[in-house]
Amino acid sequence: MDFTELFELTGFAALNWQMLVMWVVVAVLLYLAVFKEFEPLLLVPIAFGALLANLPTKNMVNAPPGEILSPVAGVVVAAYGETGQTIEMPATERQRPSHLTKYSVEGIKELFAEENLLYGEGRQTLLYVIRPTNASHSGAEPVSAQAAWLDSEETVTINNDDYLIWAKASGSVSQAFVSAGDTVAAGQPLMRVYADHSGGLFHYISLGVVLELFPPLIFLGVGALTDFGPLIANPRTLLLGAAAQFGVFATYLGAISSGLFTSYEAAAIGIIGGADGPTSIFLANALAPDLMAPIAVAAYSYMALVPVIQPPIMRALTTEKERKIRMKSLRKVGRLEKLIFALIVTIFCILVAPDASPLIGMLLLGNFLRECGVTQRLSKAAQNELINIVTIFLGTSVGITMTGDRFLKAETLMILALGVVAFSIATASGLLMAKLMNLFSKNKINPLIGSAGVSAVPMAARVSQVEGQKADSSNFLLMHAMGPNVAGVIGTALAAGYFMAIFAGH
Amino acid sequence: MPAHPTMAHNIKFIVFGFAFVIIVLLTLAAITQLVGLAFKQPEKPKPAPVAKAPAPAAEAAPVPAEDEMDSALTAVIVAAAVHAVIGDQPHRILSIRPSQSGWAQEGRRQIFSSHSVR
Repeated sequence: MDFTELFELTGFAALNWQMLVMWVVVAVLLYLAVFKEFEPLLLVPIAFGALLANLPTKNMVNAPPGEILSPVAGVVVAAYGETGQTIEMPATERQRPSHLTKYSVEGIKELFAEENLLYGEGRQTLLYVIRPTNASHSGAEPVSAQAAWLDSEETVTINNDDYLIWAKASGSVSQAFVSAGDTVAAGQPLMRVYADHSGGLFHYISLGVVLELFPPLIFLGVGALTDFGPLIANPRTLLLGAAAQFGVFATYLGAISSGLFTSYEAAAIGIIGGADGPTSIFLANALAPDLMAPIAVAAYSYMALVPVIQPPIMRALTTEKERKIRMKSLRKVGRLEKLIFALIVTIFCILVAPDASPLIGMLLLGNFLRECGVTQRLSKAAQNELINIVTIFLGTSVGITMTGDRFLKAETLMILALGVVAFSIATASGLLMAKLMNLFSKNKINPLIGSAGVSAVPMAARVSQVEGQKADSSNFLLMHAMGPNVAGVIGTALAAGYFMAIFAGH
Repeated sequence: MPAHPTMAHNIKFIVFGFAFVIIVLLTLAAITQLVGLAFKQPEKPKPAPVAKAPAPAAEAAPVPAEDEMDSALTAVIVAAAVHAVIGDQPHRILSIRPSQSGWAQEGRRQIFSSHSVR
């Protein structure tokens, strides 16, 4: 073994410039989390996960080998895998497109030329190109390109509607079931890959996100931590939480108008306006898994920045007199009433938005455990151990998707910009709704509590309290603001349910 | 919903979605209000301020047994509090009145000021 061989065995050979840039991004996130205390419970695991994602790790994220299935019914246009062939995945995960809808003719040619080069080195990971039987749902302009057939002088016509099937794990092809020209059904096995390893640590931990387990479990803890009493005592604050969801829809419009995103990606970005991390991850995973990392980072970063983003908007949209409004004391809400509320919300919200069932169901289960008074041990477990453990796994699973080629894109910057817009519009909408309600109500609402309609529990409610005290030091708005605050959680889950219902099976 | 809908399609989608959230939460508010009516306690008449009640308050006009016990308990608590503050100095409690909202406010001020909001 010479020095070159030894060097190639280390991880240094696999480093690239994107990793180095991402290390800087990780350093910024860690600085914000550790020294500025911006949502450290989430940002630290996310940032550390991002660091792991940008190191040439082994046995961390690699998927286990097995059968590769066709995602669609159609005709096999090209087949590059042969029985006995060895597949070697790169040391760091590279994002490969399953569709070419955003590619130009040149882009398609470049992609195939790059893959052709890797084919020569025995490292290509493109296995099949499948042309779907049914017309595309993408709506993108049809594009066709003559791309090089791997390791051959021949060319193959590739449409931007075609599905590309990539290898997911290293191993050897034990059986190739189809070849070019064959017709395949959705879910039909295309190839079987064998290896004696069984997948990396984070492949399994990330299943909690992929299978949409972690966000509802976080909601179980949130429900166990949340007192719905202020909302029950003053139910009209539900309207403030509803109004703040306008930020979600306005951001959807901004994202789709940018031309960079499809409608379902725009919906996943819009939910940042709800200021609800688990819901953002839940929806992003369902509608735009490739955008999950920037969406999660934007959602959690801006939630941490609520005390910075909201106050200028709150002061700009309210008068001194309005900020001094004292609200009538909230009545005491008994245990039975809280239990009835939890059951009503569960039944009603799941009936109107079945797609939000995992979130709503777990949120109210957690709350029922808290309020029923006979399950203290379960309630405490949900409030502490469960939510803490899931938070570690959720944060690192999101962070580990932040590979350089996935994160360092124009889309990421656009998502971060849209995130600020989303928060600002949501804040303004809640405030304006409170002012509107004051026009018709005898019992005036301090508009400052309207801004708490963005979820961000309890940060947004505390900002209302602090701003209220700046206007009148003896005015206590915290409990009043908790009403719209928790209403925002329900509202965001409903908005997510609406998006999922509309875009189901996109 | 197509991946690249027209602007009209988008506007319709947004209006429907926002209206959906508003209507659902409005309905939920109405239901909660209705349920709340069943649980709302009728407002209690404000208690009259305790007139100069010398301690012990036993000399007051005949009162129901429960009120009598409350007055005695109040007198004991106040006497203990005064003793804790001024010690063995001679003193006499002439009257006990319910405090204004200042104490509650001070308590709230202390609780809220203990949170550090960035």
